[in-house]
Amino acid sequence: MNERDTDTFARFGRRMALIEAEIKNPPRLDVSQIDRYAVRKPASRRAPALAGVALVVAVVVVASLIADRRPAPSATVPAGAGDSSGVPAATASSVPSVAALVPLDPASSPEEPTGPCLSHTTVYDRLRTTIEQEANMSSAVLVGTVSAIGKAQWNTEDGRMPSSEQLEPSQVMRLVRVGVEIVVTGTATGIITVQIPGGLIGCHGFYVGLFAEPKVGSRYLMFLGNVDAGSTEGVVGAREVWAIEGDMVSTAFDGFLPLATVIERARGD
Amino acid sequence: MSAERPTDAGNGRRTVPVQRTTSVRVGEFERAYERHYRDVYRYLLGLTRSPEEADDIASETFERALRAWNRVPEPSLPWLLLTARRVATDRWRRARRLARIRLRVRSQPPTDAGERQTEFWLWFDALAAVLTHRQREVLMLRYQRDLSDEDIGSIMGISASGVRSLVARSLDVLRSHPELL
Repeated sequence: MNERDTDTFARFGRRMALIEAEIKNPPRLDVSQIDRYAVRKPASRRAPALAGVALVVAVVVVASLIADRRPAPSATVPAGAGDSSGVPAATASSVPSVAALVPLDPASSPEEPTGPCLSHTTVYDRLRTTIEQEANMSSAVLVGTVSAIGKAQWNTEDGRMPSSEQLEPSQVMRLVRVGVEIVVTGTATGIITVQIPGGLIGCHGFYVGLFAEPKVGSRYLMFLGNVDAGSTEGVVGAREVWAIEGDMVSTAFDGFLPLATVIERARGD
Repeated sequence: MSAERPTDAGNGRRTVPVQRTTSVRVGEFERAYERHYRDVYRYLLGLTRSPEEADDIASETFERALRAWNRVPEPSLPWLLLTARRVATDRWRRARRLARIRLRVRSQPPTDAGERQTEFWLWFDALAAVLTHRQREVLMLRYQRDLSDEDIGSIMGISASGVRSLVARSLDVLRSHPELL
């Protein structure tokens, strides 16, 4: 660039610098939710691109539902499962594991990986499911408030750290105590212990998408399933955990939806 | 957790298949995100002239970056800008196809409550009247930090010498409009 061009470009740059006032700061990136949904805006824009996948999923889910129908309603929600959002209490169907109040922390400090401190996140490109389908695949769905969070521990058969080749974020888990507020489907006692993947071991962070980072005192919509083989007896495993802010649920695929709407859809109303 | 397992053996229900796509070093991605988000957004703002589009495409760009982070070269800015450009181009093509389908429905200029009448936008709209799209783009990329002619060329799909001559022509045009400088 010659001197004349350099001067012209400098003057252009001074005018161009006004653009800085138009640029917004980057949206906050939540490490615990660092999957596509944390970075992207709510999901409606993705609908066309995912329509084909959704169709395939629908076929798969319908086939699985035909092969494996849910049991008929048989029990009612335990007393005390009130609903502050005005949604009526559920009629329970399948019965999940009732969790005893097992210790949240591991018996001994978990072995720490060697090497530099890093955060690892597993990102799942999950085929799209509806809230109804997700609820059908869960043994229970509930709204609860986290009252305590245990320290992270290895989620392996022997409770030991896996080899570095096999090390994945999902091989770390925490146990959290949850006070049940609303039983959407299934049954649950007043206080349950839920296993959530990911956590911090030493200076190494392990996170898995589709799971909101639990915080004591916060409310979550939890889709519960079974626990992995390496986990503690009497603990319910979480399939997905969605944060509730006010009366809105941060759903995995549909962005924010009213809690009452999500509950109705999960129940199939 | 069950998220990576195709079946829940305990209750016999089948789960929807799940694919694990990648495991990334979040710390590195976060640093790149914090460092380059404004660079990407700035480029997209000039490219699309729409804050909403820029915001949306920047989000999609970083989503793609996250999913491919292990393959993103260092420094990452040229890759991010190239990806942003491709995402924007894809959107334009889709919008153009849609416009063909919608029988001559003319797009209305974005309405606002006056926030677009800032000094920058007044100047930038005037700039758009005298510079071609590619001339504006090359000057904006040159305005970005840390981009070589080779980087700009790879983003725009032209050679480094092509970048230099395009810059020179753009500056020539600007000189003939001193009110824009």
